[in-house]
Amino acid sequence: MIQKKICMLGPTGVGKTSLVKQYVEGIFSEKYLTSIGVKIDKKQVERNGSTVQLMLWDMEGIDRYCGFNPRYLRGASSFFIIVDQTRYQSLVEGIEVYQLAREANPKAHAVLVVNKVDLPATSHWSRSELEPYENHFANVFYTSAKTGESVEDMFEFVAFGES
Amino acid sequence: MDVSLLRKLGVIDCAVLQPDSGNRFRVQGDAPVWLTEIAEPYATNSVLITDEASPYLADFLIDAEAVWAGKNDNYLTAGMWEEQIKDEALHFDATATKTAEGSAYLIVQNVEKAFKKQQSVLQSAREVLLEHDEIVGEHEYIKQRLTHVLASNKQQLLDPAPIHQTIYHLETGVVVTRADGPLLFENESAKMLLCSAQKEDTTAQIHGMLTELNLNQQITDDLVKRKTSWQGELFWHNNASAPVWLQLTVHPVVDEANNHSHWIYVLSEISAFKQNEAALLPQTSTDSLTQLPNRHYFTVQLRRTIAQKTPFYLIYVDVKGFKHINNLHGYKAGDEILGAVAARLTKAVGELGFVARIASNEFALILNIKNKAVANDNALIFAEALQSTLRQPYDTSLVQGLTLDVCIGLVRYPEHAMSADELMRNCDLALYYAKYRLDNAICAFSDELKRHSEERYKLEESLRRAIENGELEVYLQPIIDLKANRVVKCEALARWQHADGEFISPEVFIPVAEQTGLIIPFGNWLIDEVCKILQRFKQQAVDVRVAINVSARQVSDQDTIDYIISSIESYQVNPKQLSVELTESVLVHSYESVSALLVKLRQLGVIVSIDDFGTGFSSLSYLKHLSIDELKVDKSFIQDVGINNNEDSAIVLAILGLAKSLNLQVIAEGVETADQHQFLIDNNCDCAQGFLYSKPMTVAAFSSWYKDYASQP
Ligand SMILES: Nc1nc2c(ncn2[C@@H]2O[C@H](COP(=O)(O)OP(=O)(O)OP(=O)(O)O)[C@@H](O)[C@H]2O)c(=O)[nH]1
Ligand SMILES: [Mg+2]
Repeated sequence: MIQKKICMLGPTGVGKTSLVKQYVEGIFSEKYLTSIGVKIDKKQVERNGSTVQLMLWDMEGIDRYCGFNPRYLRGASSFFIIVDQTRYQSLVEGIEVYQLAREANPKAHAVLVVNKVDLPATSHWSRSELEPYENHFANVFYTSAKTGESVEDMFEFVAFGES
Repeated sequence: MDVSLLRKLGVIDCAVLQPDSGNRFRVQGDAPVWLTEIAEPYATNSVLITDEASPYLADFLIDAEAVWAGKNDNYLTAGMWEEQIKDEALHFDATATKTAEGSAYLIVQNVEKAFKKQQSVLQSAREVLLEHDEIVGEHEYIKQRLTHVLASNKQQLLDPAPIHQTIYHLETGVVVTRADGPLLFENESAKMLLCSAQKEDTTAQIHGMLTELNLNQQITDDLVKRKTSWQGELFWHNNASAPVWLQLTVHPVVDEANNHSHWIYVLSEISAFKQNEAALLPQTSTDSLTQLPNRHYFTVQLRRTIAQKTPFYLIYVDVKGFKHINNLHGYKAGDEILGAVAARLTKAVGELGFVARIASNEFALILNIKNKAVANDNALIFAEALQSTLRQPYDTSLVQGLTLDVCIGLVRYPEHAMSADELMRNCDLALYYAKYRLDNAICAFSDELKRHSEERYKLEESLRRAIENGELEVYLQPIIDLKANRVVKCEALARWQHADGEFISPEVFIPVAEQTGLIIPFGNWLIDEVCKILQRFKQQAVDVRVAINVSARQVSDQDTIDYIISSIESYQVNPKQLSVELTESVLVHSYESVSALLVKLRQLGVIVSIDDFGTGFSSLSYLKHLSIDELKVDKSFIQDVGINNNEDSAIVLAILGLAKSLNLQVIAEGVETADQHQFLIDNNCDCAQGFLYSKPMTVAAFSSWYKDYASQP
């Protein structure tokens, strides 16, 4: 069975943990409990008879209290850069995290995830603002960990790719 | 010590493993129960570390092996991680080490306690952070909407358009000015944040902030060029209210054709976040330049010290004239000097104190009374010693032998204040007096000081009103050309008669005006009045020049020269009739802005004099390189001249000689006796001013006095 390491990266509070929880357990909680350190979840995905085991590395949000540890990206097949569309600043920080991750692992696929689409975006956030960055990413998903919108899609994408 | 014992005692909850071969490990001592949940049992006292059991630990083995092979340091930790064991989440950390004898170990530790602590600290810290982000986001939003409106339709803002309404009632402060300065728009929140009384204007406050933040013309020009905004935080001391933390966004509106039309300023108060943040993570708050604790950390430390309820001193140290050093020697040198000051302070304070850098050139010390140096209330002596230490010359890689002057303010807990805020306020006050009032530049807080400052504040308020309500009046004191025995000039002096009839001397109110910034409106008022007088004199055929005094603040204010030009134009005054007097201290402290201003004044034809000459420190080089016309010899030198051959006579003669060689006119101030008058005539002094000729008088009195003087034999 193929095993793939996937890293959940991004600023604090964007919904990294919630996305994994929604995907793995089908649960969402409104309460915010910040992650400390790393937590790894496993999930098997099947398509056309082939099975992939995803190792989902959910990490502490990168902010002034927690730096970026390049070691965690070792051997990753993809990494998600997750940002929160209700918080403009998270986009700016997300791009910084992307640059660090890219440097630490030049080969992994990078996927941008714009989360919390069930909420209104900050009014000055427009999708066009992401355009300059989009070609850095293998794909972009607009997700909600709350409603589950596009959550499976994003994980299946890193498990099997486009097709 | 035996690890099993420690474990039994509950000191640490860990597994000590030694690598065997491959991913097999031998367990030293008893294994904790959780070990077999994160590693597969193998043989007796052996486990396998695998991807299935713990992918995180298995991954860490790659780094651990490098440690054991001696490729890296002898010690590496994995970082905390979480494992789901049955229904429970447990938290671990792992360390790979190698002893001096070469034995390799992997220690896996249950770090539940550390995790809980870290979690609870970071939980609040991050909630604060996210809230703060919300504010930054709000700024971004307001900025973008306003930019759009301003750039697309310049009139709309003046109409009661919906956006006007929206922004007016926002909780976030918004100020919009035209690119050239004048206020276009401000909302209630901005006024509330910045202004204590309705009368103060927000633009002046904003300029104060930009100065404090060192956002000079060069930086703002650069923002315009790059069409970007500046964002940051500042600890804002408004004179009248308690200091607050503000989040500030400064944004230039620049259209497609690169025309810069407006400035947008967006402001929010973030004091609450700042306090939370400082309380949560004080240890991260050091100043990068000096490595000393910064202002946040200092306030936290101050509160902690207060909580101990033992007496201590709070001391503020201000390095004077630092801007001058930066200008003269460059920022790098300035930084080096600050580093050196920090080092001397740290050494002087020793172990029983705390040193922080709380502003660019201001340091705070918290001195425990147990510190021998300040025991028995010898704090003033300590402060004097500190001052002399800091005044010793500094040698750095960029400058040698530089000396600094420092001012020191002190307060004592609990006598002078009980709370951190009040201690800081009172220490500020003491420092303020040390800076502006006292010769020895050290000042301890006292109730009298506080009373004095309250009186000063009252004075400031009534001066503000006096300027607005025209309670001030110009008096003129004649200046006589000694050779021609003619009135050639006069000095304009402001007289302030308070509403209750009391006269307030300029010696009292001018310093207040200078310290509070009121000198600018006052100065403008004086310029206007004098131009009006000159206009009237022209009609009355009174042919004298009128001199006004210009202060340091006015010199550094770019608008002063424009104001002079516009007054000259609007009253159609011959610029040669106007004369400007600067004191020596202005020259020394703001050399660059002075020389720029003087060149412009000279181009206009305005005569420039140096006032109170001899009392300051102006060196010959200043005089040579500045565009000046006259020296006014201070009255303290004139007092004793002519009585006998004393020292003062010698100084006056020296000044006369110096002036002659530099081709400058000399005016003697404070001439009161016939002997002094004769001495000046005998030694070819050009002009004189003093009670011997006349006291300052009203403008009407002056013109008739002038005519009488001209007609006397
Ligand atoms: N409405 C909504 N809320 C979400 C969504 N995703 C996450 N949240 C909420 O956002 C907060 C943060 O979610 P987390 O999943 O803990 O965020 P995180 O990125 O793991 O945060 P850190 O571990 O601190 O870096 C929680 O209160 C969640 O309930 C979403 O898609 N929609
Ligand atoms: Mg999380």
